[in-house]
Amino acid sequence: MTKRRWLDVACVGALAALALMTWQIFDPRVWPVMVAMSLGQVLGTVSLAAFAYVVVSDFRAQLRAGRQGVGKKPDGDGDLQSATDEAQSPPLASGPGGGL
Amino acid sequence: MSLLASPLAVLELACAGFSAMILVSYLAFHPPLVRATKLWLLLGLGVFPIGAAFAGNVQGFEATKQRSFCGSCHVMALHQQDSDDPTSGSLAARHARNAMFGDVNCYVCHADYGMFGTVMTKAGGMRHVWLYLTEYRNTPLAEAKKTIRLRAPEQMNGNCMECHSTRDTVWLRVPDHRAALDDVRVGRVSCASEGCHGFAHPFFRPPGERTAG
Repeated sequence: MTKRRWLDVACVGALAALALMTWQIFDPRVWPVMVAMSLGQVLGTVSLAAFAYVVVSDFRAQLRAGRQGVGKKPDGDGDLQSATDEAQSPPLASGPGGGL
Repeated sequence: MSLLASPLAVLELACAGFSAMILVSYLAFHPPLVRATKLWLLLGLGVFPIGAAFAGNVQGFEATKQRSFCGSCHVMALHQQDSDDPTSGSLAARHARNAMFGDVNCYVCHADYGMFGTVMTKAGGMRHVWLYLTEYRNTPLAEAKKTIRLRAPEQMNGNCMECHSTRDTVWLRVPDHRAALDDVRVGRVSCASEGCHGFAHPFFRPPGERTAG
């Protein structure tokens, strides 16, 4: 699975977790509260872990690339896209340093 | 809307809303994974959801104290109805009309006290959920009235004595109180029993005194 796909899954998982966590506000009965405090938070934590995995593995790939002298700066921010992402993800239209 | 009366609910919704905006934007536009994108995702996947979870947890714990929460399991519906009834003379209903108990009268009377009281009460609540799932989920209300009972009735006097200390001179002026003082303090005589202040709930009976109906 590409890093991009990991992040997509993390985002969708986090959105589901947020929905579960906010459900209890509108329906404060036993099941919504329990689901919010268990499943919602586990899903949110797993999503954050997936994001952390992508960031850490990207960082390691940059370090590796730097050591091998094949790293390049695709934008002005000093960040490098990992070789995996470049190979498996088409370039996405966005300006330099493109945030959201 | 009661939602706005709770700052925690508003905080949770705000955090969830900001987080959702970031995540949906990311999914819609798929910007390159540069530092700025990662920082935005850190907010959307980490900071705001953690804020929402924190506010939601506190809000959830507060929600579990509400009488309506206790009554959301069908076997507790009669207890809730009795406490909601402004004309009921049961101990539970009379305490529910006291501002010190109000909408959280179930929790105030049934919670454990002491340093770990809240934790023990929440752990006991999980036991209730387990029992509900395994034993009472399909139990008809009429049957529940006869079978549900206090797990440790001898400990209930301790909860009464959190407010009614048994040391007040007015309280001690009552002959029955004086006569049963030691038994009341150790829980051998229940405050909420026939002959004293009556059962806390009108249809409650101790295990040995269950009625046929």
